[in-house]
Amino acid sequence: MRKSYLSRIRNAYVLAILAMLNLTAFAQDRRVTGKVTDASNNGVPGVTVLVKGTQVGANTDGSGNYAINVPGNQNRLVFSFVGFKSQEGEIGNRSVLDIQLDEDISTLNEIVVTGYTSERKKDIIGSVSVIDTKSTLQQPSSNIGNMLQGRASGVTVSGTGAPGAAAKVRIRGFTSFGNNDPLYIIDGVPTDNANALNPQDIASIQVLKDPVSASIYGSRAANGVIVVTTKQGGSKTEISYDGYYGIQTTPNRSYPSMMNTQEYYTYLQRAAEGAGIPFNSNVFGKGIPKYLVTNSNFNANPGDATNPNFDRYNYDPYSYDNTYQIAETSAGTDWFREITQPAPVQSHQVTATGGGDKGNYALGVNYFGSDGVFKETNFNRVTVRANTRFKPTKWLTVGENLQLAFSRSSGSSGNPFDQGGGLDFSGESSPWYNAYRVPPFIPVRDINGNFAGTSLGEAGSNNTAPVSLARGRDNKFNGMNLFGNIFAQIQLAQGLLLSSSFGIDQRFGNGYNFTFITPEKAEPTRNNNYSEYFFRGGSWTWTNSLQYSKDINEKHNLKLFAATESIFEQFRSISGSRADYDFNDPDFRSLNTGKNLPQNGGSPSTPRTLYSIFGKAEYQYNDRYLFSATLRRDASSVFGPENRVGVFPALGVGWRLSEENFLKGVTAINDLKLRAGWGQLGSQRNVGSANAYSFYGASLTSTAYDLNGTNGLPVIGYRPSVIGNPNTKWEAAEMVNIGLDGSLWGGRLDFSVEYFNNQTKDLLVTRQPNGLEPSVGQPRINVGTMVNKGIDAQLTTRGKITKDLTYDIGMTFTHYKNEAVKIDAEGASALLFGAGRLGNIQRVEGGQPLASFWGWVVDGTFQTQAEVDAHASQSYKRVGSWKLRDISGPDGKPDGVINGDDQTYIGNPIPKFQIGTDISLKYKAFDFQTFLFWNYGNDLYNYTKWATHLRGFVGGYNTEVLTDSWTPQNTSASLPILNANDTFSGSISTSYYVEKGSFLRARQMQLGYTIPANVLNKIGMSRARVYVQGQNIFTITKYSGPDPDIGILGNELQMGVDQFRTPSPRTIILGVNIGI
Amino acid sequence: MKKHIKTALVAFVLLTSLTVACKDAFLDRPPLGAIAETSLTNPNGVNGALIVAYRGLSGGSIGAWYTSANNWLWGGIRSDDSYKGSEALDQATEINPVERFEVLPNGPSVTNKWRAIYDGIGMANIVLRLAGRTPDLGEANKTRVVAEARFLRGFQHFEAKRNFNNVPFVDETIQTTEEYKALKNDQSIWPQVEADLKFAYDNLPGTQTAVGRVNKWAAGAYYAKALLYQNKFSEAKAVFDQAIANGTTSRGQKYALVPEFKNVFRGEEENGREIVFGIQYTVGDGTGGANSNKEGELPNPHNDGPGGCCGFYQPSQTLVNAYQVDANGLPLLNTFNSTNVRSHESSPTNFPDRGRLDPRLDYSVGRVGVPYKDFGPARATWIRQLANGGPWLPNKMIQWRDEIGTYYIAGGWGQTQLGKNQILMRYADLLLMAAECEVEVGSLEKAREYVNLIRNRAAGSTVVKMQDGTSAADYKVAPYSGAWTDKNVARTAVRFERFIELAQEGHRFYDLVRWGIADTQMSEFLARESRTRTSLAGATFRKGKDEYLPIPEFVVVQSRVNNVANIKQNPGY
Repeated sequence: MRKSYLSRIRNAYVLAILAMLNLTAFAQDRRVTGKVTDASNNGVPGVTVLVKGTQVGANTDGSGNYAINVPGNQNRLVFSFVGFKSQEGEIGNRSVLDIQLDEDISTLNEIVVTGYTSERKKDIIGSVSVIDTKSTLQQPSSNIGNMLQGRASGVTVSGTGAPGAAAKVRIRGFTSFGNNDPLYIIDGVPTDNANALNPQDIASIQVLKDPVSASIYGSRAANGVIVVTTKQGGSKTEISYDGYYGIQTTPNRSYPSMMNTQEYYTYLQRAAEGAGIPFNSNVFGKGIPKYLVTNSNFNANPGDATNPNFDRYNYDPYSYDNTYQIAETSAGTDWFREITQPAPVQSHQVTATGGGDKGNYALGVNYFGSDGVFKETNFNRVTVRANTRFKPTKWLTVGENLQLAFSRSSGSSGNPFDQGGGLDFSGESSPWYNAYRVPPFIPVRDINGNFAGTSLGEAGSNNTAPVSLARGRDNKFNGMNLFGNIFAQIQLAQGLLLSSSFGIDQRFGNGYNFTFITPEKAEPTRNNNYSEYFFRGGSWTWTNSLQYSKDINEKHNLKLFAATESIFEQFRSISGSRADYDFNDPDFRSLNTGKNLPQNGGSPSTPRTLYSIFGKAEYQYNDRYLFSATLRRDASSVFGPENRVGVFPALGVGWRLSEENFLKGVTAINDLKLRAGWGQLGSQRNVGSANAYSFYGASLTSTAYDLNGTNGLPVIGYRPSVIGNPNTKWEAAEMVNIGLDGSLWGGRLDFSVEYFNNQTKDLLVTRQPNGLEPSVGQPRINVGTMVNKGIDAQLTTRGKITKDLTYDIGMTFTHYKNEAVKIDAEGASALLFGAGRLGNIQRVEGGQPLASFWGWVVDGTFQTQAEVDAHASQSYKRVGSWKLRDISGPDGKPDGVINGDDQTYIGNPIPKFQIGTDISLKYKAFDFQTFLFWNYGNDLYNYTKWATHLRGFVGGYNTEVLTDSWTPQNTSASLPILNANDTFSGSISTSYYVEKGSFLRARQMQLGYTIPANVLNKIGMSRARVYVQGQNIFTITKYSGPDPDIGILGNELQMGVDQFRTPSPRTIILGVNIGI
Repeated sequence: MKKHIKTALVAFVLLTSLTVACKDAFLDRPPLGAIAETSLTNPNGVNGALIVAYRGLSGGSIGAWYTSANNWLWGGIRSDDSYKGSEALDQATEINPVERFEVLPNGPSVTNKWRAIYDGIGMANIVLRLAGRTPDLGEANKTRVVAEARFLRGFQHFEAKRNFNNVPFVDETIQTTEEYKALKNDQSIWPQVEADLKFAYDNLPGTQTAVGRVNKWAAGAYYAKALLYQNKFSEAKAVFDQAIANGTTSRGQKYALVPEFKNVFRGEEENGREIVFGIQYTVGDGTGGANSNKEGELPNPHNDGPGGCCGFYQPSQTLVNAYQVDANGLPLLNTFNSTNVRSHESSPTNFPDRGRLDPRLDYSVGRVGVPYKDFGPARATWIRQLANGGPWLPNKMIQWRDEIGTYYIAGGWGQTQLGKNQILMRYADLLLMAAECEVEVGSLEKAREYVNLIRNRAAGSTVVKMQDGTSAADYKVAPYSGAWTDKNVARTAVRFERFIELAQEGHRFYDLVRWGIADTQMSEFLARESRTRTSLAGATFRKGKDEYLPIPEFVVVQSRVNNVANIKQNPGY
C-alpha cells in the first residue's frame, strides 16, 4: 500500500485516540469478533472497523482478526481500508462477523505525499503525477531515474546503457539554462542525486510539477520535485525475497556498418583519385599486406609492412623502443563487436517488515550487480536499509529512515554518484568512440597474442578500444553513501502536530587510476602514472514544522502548515598522483611505489547554505471548493547580501464539479475536478557557492612562470579565477497550471489533462565573456526569459473483460514547446556551443528553442562545372562537393558569398510529443505487462558521423562513405566526392549531421505466473511469483546512430547531440518474488 | 512529568531553529582556497599579477595548442618555409584549413589564438590597475612594473595586429561589459602599440633582477619592430642603432652573436647573449609539464626520433633549396628553386645530397642520413608519413640527447615535455631587421655589414660531419664581399638572409605579408609544391583576404549592440 510515514503516523494517532475512547465505553457493550479477508480469502491486516454512527473503532491484526466492543444500541459495523471498497455489516444477534472486502479499483482515496504533508489523491489541486509503483517496480532497473521514462506525463527521461549510470530526468522541459535536474525528496530529505537509492526499497513516487504542489520547496523546486517514500513496516510480519538475473546485449541496430579492409583500401584509392593525386601509402603501397609491423622503429624499410623480421618479434610493455610487433593483417576487425559482451545483471533483495502499535520496522538488504556491455567494466552495489519508528507514548513518535549504500565500479575511476560519472562514457574517452578511431586492417592481437597496435602509421594514433578496456579493468571507484533522517513528532493537541527531522546525505569516495605505457600506439605513452583521490562531503537538512488540521461541521476543512529549514552543503577532497612505476602489476600500485616526484592536490568547496521559512494553508468547503496558498522565503549563501532572499508564493483553487447538483445525478462520474494554480518558483542551483565573489587563485600548474630562468621551480603568481557577481539574483519561474481530473465508471477510467505555461525570468546563465576579455571563470548572471508551455495528459483504464481476465492500461502524453524569449547575456545576444572537435554547432538565441542546431545548409552537390561557376563563392567548391546555401550577407540578403553569415538554424532537439503506454493484463495466475515509449518530432545531431562519414581522423569509416559519396554516376549521393585533401567538409557544421530523432521503443515486456495461495499455504509461503522479462525489445526509428534515446543527455544547452554514449542494451531477465 | 518533557522538547526545537535563523554567519560563506583582489594591492600581489601577465606569452591559460607567441603554425606552416607534416588527418581541423587558406571564423585554432592574445592583454591590464591602487609600491618600482606590463600589453596587441589586422585596442580602463562591447576594430591600433612599447623602452632598466623580465633593449627592439611593420624605416633605424650599440640582455650581458650557430638553440644559451626576448619554460617543477612549452611538443620527430612524438612542422622543399650556394658560398637568390636538394624520397638510392650547401642547413633542417644533433644520422622512421609531410625534419627547437633530463622529460601521452625557452627574438633577427631599415633608408653598405655579421658567424661555425669524419655536404658560406650598390639586390639579399637564418622560427609568413609579397610568393609556392606535397593540391591564396586570419565568430557575435556588430569581420570571411 502506498503510504507515507506521515500518513501512517496520523493513522496510528487516530487509532490511538479511538483506543482511548474504547476504554471509556459503556458497560452494556457486547463484544463482537471476526475476520476480514480479501477475495483470495487472505486475512487483511490494518482494516479500520468502526461502529456506525459512533467514534468506537478498532483495527484488524496481522491475520485480519478484530475484536470490538459495540454499544448496545448499535447494530452496524463499517469496514474500511485503503485499496478496498468500504463495506457495512449488520451484527444482528451474532458475536462473530466475518467479512470479505472487495478491492477498490478507484485510487481516489489513496493517501499521497505531496510535500511536507500528505493528502488524499482526490483532494490534490496541484499537478502531481503519481507513479504506479506496482508496475514500475516490476521493471528491474539500477536506479530511480531509469524507472520513470514514460511513467508520468510531463516527465522526460533519457538514459544510456552504462551499468549503474543515472538517467537524466526532466520535468516539463527546461526551466533553466543550467542544471535542470529535479529535486528528489526521499523520506523528507532533499538530494540532487538519487542514484544511490535502491529502487527495491521504494514504496511510492510522486512527481510534483506545478507551483501549487512544488512551491513548498521554494528555491529548489523550479525543475520539479520527485517525492519518494521508502517501504515501511506494517502490522504484518513478513520476510520477502525478490531477485532477478538477466543478460544484457547490445542490439544489432546499434552497431554501425563499418568498412572491412578491402573496402578501406578501395576508399583510400578513390580518395586519392578524387584529389587528383597519386595513391601513396606506407601500408597499402603494394596492395593489402599479409603482415603489419606495428612498430616501424626496427624495420629497415618502414614502408614495407609485408616483410617482417620474425626473429626480432618482441613485445615489451615498458618500452616502445624495445617493441617490435608483428601482426597478421586483419580482413576487417569490427571493433564494436570486439569491445562488447553479453553482460549479466542481477539483483537480490531481502526485506523484512513487521510491527505493532508501539512501533514498526522495515529492513532491507540488496545486492545489485551489472557487468557493462563493454568488456572489463562492471558495477556493484550493496545497500542496507533500516526504517524504524517507535511510539513510546500517545503524543510522541520517533523514528529513522536510513540507507547505507556501498558501490564499486571497475573499469573507470570516475564517480558513479555523479550524473554521468563513472562508467557512463562519452566523447573521446568513450570505448564506442575509440572503436571508430582505429581502422579495420589492424587485428585485435598480434601473432603472439598480445594486443596489436597502431604504431605502424596511417593507422590513427589511438589505442585500440579492447586494449584500453583491458588496461582499465583495475581502475576502480569505491563509494559509500549514507542517506536518511531521524525524526520526532509531537502531538501537541488534537490536530496540532510538531515535527522535527534531521536528514543527512553524506558521501565518501575513493578512486584510483593507472595509465599504462603504450608501446603499440602511434603516439606512445612512454611513462606510466598512478593517481588516487578521496573525498567526503554532502549535506545536512534540518526541518522543523507545525501542522494543524480542523474539521468544522464536516463542511469546513482547514489545514495549516508552517516550517523552518536549514541546509548546509560542502565537499572536501584530496588527490595525489605519481609517475614512473617499474611494474604494471595492480598489486604494486600505490602513491608510494612510483619513482617520480609525487604531486598532490585537493581543495575544500565553499559551503553553500540555505535558510527557509515557509507555510501553507489549505481550505476545503463542503468537499466541493478547494483552496491552497503557499509562501516560502529562502535565503541563500550563494547570492550577495542584497539579493540573498527570495520569496515564492503560490495559489491554487479546485472545484469538484462532481459534487455539484447538476452532476451528482450522473452515475458514470465518480469524480470530476477542475483546478488551477499559479505560483513562482525560484532557482539557485546553477549558481556556484562563491558566485558573488571575485577572487584570485594561485597554483604551480596554472599561475606560475619561470621568471628567474631556473629550469626548476617557477615563481607562482596570482590570476583571477572567477569574476564574481554580487548582483546575481534568484531565477524565478512563474508558472500557470490548469487541469481537469476525472474518474469515471467507478474508477474504470481515470484521466487528467493539464495545460501549463512556465515562464522563467532572470534566467541564470554563465556569463559569456566578451571576445575581448581575458579568459577568466565567469559568474552566473541573470540574462533573459524563457517560456515552456505544453500539455500533459494521463489516462488510466482498468476493468474486467471476463471474470478471470482483468486489464489495466495507462497512457501518458507529454508535449511542450520551448522558446528562449529574450537573451541578453551581457557579453552576447546569443550563446554558441560546439561538440567535440566541431565548433559552433548549437546556438541559443531569443525566439528559438533551446540548444537549436546551427550551421550551413547543404543543398546537394555540384553536378557540373557550370553549376559550380554559377554558385556563390565558397571554400572547397568543385564538381561533386557540397553546395552550401547562400542565406545571407552583411546586409541580411544573399550576397553571393558563402561565409559565416550563411549559417542558420538547422534543427530542433525538442520532441513534439512523447507517449508512454503501459498495458497490464491478468488472467488467473498469469500476468502480462508491457511498456511502450514513443518519442516523436525531435532532431538529433549525429556527431558520430564526424568520425565515420566526414573522417575527421584516421579510423574506421562507415560503408556509406563508399556507397553514398558523389561520383559522376552516383549523382544523388549525400556525401561529397571522395577527396583525400577535403578537410573542409568535415570542419563545418552542416545540415548533413541533422537527423530525425523519432522512435518507438518497447521498453519492457513481462510475463509472470503467481503460484496459487492454497499451494503456497501448504509450504508456508504467503506469496510466490516467477516472471520472465525483456527490456528494450525493439526500437523503430530512422535515426542512423547507435541509439536514438539520447535526446536530453549532456549539458542543457548542448542536448540532442550524439556524443558516443553507450547504447541501451537489450535485456532478458528471469525473476522471482517470494514472501514468507 | 509528561507535560514537562513535552514542553522541554518543544522549546528545544523551536529555540534552536530560531537561533539558526538569526545568524547571518550561517549564510555568509566567502570562498575557500582563494584570495580577494583587495588583498593584492601590495608589492607581492602586484608582482604576482605581473608573473601571470608574463605567463600570458605561453597561451597556457587557454589550454590549447597554437596559442603562444611561438607561432610555428601561424608564421611557419602558413608560410613557404614549412608544411604541416605528420599524417594527413592529424590535427586536420586545427591545421589543414590554415595551411590551405581555407580557415573559417569558427576554426578552433583561430579562436584559441585570439583568446590567448586577449587573455594576455587582460592580465597586463590587471597589473596596471593594481599598480595604480598600490601606494606601497614606491615610485621607481611602480614605473618598472607599469613599463613591464605595458610592454606585455603592447606585445600582445602586436600579435593581434599582425595575425588579425583589424583589431581593437583594450586598455586598463575597459572593465564593464558595456565598455568592452563599445570597442570597435575600424581604426588601426599601431599608435597605441607604439605608445606601449615606447613607454617600456623609455622607462625600463637595462638590467633586470630576474632574467625573464623584459628590459629596456628588448622593449626597444619590439618598438622598432612595430615601426618596421609600418615601414617607418628611419624611426626604426634610430632605435635599432641604439640597441646594436648599447643593448644588453636582462642580465646586463652585451648583445652578441653566439660564435657557434648551432649553440644558439642549446639550453645553456636559452638566456644567453644572443637572446633579446623569449618565453621562459621549465620542466623541473614536478607538475608534469604545466610550465613547459606544450605546443613545442608537436614538432618533435616521430617514433624513435628525438622527442618521439607527432612529427609536425616539417620544413618545405623550398626552404631546403634556399640553402644551395654558388661556388663563392653565396645564396642563389633568384634561382635556388630551379633544382631540388635530393632526399631519400626523391632519390631513394642516392641520399643525402652532399652537394654545395650552406652549413646552417643541417642545423636548421633534419635530413635522413645526415647526423642530427648528437643522435647520429636521422632515420626515415622519424618521419611520420613521408607521403604527406615530405622528407625533411625540423631541427632548431628539437632536443639534444645530452639535454634529456634537464630540458626535456617524458610526457604523459607519448610526447616529450620541453623545458627549454622559446626564442621570440634573437640578436640575429634584430640585426636583419636593422639591415632592412638600412636598405630602405639607402645605407646599403651598413646593411651589408649587418648581413655579413651573420654570414661570418655561419662561416666560422663547425659543420656537420658524417661518421667517417667527412663533412656531410660540400658546405660553403661566405660574406658578401662586393659592395652593394643596387637597392633591389640589397633588399633581396637581406630578405633572403632572413629566410635562411631564421628558418622555422615563426617569422616567415608575417615577413611575406609586411613585404607585400605574400600573394605572389604563396601562390608560387602552392603551385610548385602541391605537385609533390599533395595535401596542398587545390589550395589557393587570395590576395586581400588570406594575409590575415578571420576574426573569430564569437567575437563578432558578442560585440553586437542593438543587432549591430561593433567588431566587423575581416574582408573575405
